[in-house]
Amino acid sequence: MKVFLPWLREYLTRDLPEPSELAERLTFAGLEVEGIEEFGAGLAGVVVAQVELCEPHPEADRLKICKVFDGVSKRTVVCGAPNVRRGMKVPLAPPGTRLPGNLLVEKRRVRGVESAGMLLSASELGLWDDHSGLLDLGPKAPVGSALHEALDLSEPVLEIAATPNRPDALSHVGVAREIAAITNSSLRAPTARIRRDIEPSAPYAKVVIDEPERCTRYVAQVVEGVRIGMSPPWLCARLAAAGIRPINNVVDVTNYVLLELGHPLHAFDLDLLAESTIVVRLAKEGEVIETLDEVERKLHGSDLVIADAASPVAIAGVMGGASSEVTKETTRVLIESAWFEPTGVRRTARRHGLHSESSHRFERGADPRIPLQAATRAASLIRKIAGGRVVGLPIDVHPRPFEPLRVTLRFARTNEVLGLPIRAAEQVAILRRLGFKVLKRDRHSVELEVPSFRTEMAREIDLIEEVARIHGYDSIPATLPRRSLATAGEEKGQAHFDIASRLRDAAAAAGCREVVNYSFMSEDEIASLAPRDGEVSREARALMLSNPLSKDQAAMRTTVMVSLLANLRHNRRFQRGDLKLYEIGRAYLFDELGVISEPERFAALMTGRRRPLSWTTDGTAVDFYDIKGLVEAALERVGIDPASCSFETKGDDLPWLHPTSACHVAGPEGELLGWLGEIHPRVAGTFELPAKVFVAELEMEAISRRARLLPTYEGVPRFPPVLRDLAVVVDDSVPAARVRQLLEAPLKEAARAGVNVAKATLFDVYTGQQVGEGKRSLAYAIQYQSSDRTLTDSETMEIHEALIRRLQHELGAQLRS
Amino acid sequence: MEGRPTPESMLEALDSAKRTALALIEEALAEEDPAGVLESIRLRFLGKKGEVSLILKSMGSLSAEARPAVGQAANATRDAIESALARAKDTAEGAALDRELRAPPIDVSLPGRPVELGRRHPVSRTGEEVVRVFERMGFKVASGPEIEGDFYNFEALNIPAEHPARDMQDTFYLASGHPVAATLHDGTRGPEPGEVLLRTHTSPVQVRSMLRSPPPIRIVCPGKVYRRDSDLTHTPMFHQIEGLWVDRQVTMADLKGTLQLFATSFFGKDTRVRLRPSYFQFTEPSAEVDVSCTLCGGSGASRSEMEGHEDAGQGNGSIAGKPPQTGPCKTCSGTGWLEILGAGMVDPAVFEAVGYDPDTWSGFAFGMGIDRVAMLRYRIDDLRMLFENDARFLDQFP
Repeated sequence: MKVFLPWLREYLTRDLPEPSELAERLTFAGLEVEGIEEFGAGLAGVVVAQVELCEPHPEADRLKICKVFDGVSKRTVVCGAPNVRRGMKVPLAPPGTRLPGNLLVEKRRVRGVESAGMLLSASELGLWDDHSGLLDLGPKAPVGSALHEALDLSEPVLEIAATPNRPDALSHVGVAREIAAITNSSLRAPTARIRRDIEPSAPYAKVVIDEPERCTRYVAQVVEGVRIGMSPPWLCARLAAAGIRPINNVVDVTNYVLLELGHPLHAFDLDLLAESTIVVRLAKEGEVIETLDEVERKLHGSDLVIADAASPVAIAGVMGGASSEVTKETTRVLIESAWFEPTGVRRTARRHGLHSESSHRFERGADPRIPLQAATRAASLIRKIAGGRVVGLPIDVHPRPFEPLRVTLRFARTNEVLGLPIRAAEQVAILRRLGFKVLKRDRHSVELEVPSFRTEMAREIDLIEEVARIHGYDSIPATLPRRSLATAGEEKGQAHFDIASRLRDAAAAAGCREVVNYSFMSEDEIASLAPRDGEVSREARALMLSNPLSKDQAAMRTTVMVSLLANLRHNRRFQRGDLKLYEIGRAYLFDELGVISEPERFAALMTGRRRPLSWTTDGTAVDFYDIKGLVEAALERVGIDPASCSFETKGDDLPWLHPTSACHVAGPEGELLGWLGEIHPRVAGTFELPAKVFVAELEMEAISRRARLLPTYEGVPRFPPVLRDLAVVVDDSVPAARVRQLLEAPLKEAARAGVNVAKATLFDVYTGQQVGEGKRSLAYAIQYQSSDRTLTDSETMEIHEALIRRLQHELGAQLRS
Repeated sequence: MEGRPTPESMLEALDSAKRTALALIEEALAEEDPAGVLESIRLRFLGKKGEVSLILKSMGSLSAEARPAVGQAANATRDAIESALARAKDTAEGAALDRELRAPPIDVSLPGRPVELGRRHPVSRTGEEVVRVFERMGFKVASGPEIEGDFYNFEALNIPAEHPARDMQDTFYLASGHPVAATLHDGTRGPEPGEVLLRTHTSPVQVRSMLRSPPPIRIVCPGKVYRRDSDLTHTPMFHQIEGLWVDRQVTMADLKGTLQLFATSFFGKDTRVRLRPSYFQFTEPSAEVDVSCTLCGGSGASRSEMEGHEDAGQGNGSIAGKPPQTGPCKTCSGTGWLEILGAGMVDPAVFEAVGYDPDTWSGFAFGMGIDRVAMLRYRIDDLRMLFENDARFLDQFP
């Protein structure tokens, strides 16, 4: 809502503060001023001049040679405007004036005649759109004075962003009322006397409301004998300053009253209404209307329309129809001033994609008490500026009389909510300034009647907010809840948050960069997650958006990995192919029943060089064991021993991973924690990536169930361990995990002797001629440890040999010398 | 040895051994590796089968009278050789150390072996830091689904269908055919969730938390939210953190105090906070919350050093005598304030929707955009960089 200060002043008894201070005070009372601009700025130098003579240009049909008087001297100006005539008072820009659009006016010869300046239209002045010709300033304009003496120019316009609960602030009177309340001054609202100039020849118009719930009141006022034309400059200027384009005097008056009182009106050409009848009814299926914006619209059965005896002539509260539009030929107008129910207007406006000044106000709740006043005001203005006679009294159909709301405010409650004591008298005074009427009052409370322009004020808390904002939020002290020990939260949220924090540590230690991605993916990306063409995996079935912004963001991602792959694709364009990335975020899935889940995941990606390019590194590329190492470190960081987890070659359910180097990660009880591996060449293709990209995802929920963020101290052995190396040759089909399992499981003999293998570190894996085809050698550094003594060579040797025998027996292992 | 050794011959042999040893030791110092040669000298004379040792062993054949004199001489010879060896060893080691220390220095200018530190994303880091501040105030983290039902995202927050307040948030909807689970994610049954959408704010977590547990409650809910908007200043996904504190006698002054404490903890001790009346369907009274500008400190004027920094890029650098720039601060557009939060007292309608008695319980809620705070904190001027995940961007946040 744009508020023009000269207009606003009309309704206030006191001078306004400086615009910037006014803006600040309004903002801090809840009407946010988003900006201050100046209407008609940059027109210094333009003066009011009178055309004294006006003759055709001998060399050009369309040009006239005018003698104009600028208050000091007379000059000759060549003018091409069609409406220029003798005696007219118009804006003149003498040579040297700079006009909006950086146009410099210069003395120049036009077809052989010297023109000393320029006569101007409203468009050329940058004021409003009008291509009909020169701006006619009217007979009263003072010749020789600056243009801003004749028109309100270079005056401030406040751009107010009224929140949806403040329909009352969508007008100049409404904003003035607010200012009066803030500054404790009074409001001078415009008045218009109900009058009739002539008695109607019955029946001159008829109003019928078929839908009293959707239209509780309809006031119609007829004015006849109007002469349609341009509005006077002052009215055009006010509309333009408030952002509405002048159209013709009758339409302009309806808009003027809209901006003044906040009530939307519509003017019909009464002669174009079949049987001079207004019917407020629902549209019939199949009915069509061409609205004023020249769009033909198919109406819906729940659209409320204004119809004449034959067909719809307006979409109620939204926009008028072209068929009954006020035109140059119009002489009899019917002014509509009605109250339409907000939800219905909003539904209809949305359905037709039509957002108008009118629907904006009805949706938010117009003042149900104002229709008669608004119609009368409009009639009196039309009479004044477009001539005509007011016919009869307003027709006022009022099937649902307005019942004002009553609300009780407990003074103590205000203080309880705000934590700020405000005296009862002040609470009442504030509310009265805002238009509330005191019905009953005692020491503890007051019963108030809510003004009709604030119908959303239905509850005590609404009144408390009113008191608070006018009293000023800055007076509320800053305290902390005194008696609250509340810590109740949701365990899962906190647990995930803490675990995420640990996982970030682990990823950072592994040199990974954290990324944060949109949760979307494209259809192509979804397809690449399917096992084979035509088959569907859970991840290849995505939740689709019904209104995505683009095809690339049409679906919710089913793995976090897809986002990381897209990040890699992006970075490769900038020669950043060595990447280690991770993200903690959600995937979005649904099951056979359509039930949605949003598992939170820790996802990582590694590709390119293992270590950054450096003179100290050899450029080796990352491989499967780098991503596995990261996963193990992440698990360890949240208190899950990676050795207690199993990493097993995948089945068919990870189709986006390479069949030979990928695995599931399972917890100690076999529960699935996640997966990791190299991406499938097909996926790499979709993302335009090279081979050898390694990815992993862990399920936060599963991790969180197993995590132990608070370790328990277990003691440190006081005796030194004995170290022995052991290299065994086994079939290469034997998983290393199996050997390790045998090494670390306690031996009977050792247990008797109180000795165990504290640690078996695999330090070499060898395949090649020396160990033979189909075999490999695994070399371990083993630490033997006793908790109660220093071990001797001979007793560890005995146990070591028992260990070798076990490997030989279980795996057919051979000792490698 | 031919015949029985005489004391004289033994003394002579000792003397000869000593002279030979000392001479060899002297020569050894000129060798490249004196330590090895010295060890061989020691073995030759003092080893178990060394010359001096053999002489000592053969003393058994001497008469008792002759033994002490020869024994003494033998010990003296051994001591002399030993100490000569020790001295020579010291000299040799000293010389070696000397050589090592005088060698040309290594190239200390070669870069060290890189340690990859990893990087935190500025938004995630900011979110975590914000949460940590509230944790210190006793808040617990809560979470909720991003794919929400209309009930939780709008209806229960006092934003009914067809209310103009819905225009404030352009919503993504899921294509039909996917019922969102009508259960809260801890298994409690909730009301019918309605149309399925991407949550437009973190406020539905308030609703879910209150439906799940009785008052009192004190939570923060960080998370992703979605609005159907994409331009220079909007991304379709962004991050919010929601706070909720419900108890008996919680007031708007408490809201102000809590946010003031947050602001000074997070932005710095001189940070000021101000509340402006605003409107949210689920709080009343509602407020927009501004903090004093983190860059200009609330003065609204740009710092000349910042201007100087920007000028440097234009090639005309600092011109002597040029007055310091005093234009408006670019971060707060000269207002001195930054709008970072929406807040208010929980609307009684929300309490009613979740079954809390609004006459017994009161509380406040607030919501903050994490991305914007991150941009302020790190002076990031292009919102879209946040989610492009360009390594050159990420590398700037070690």
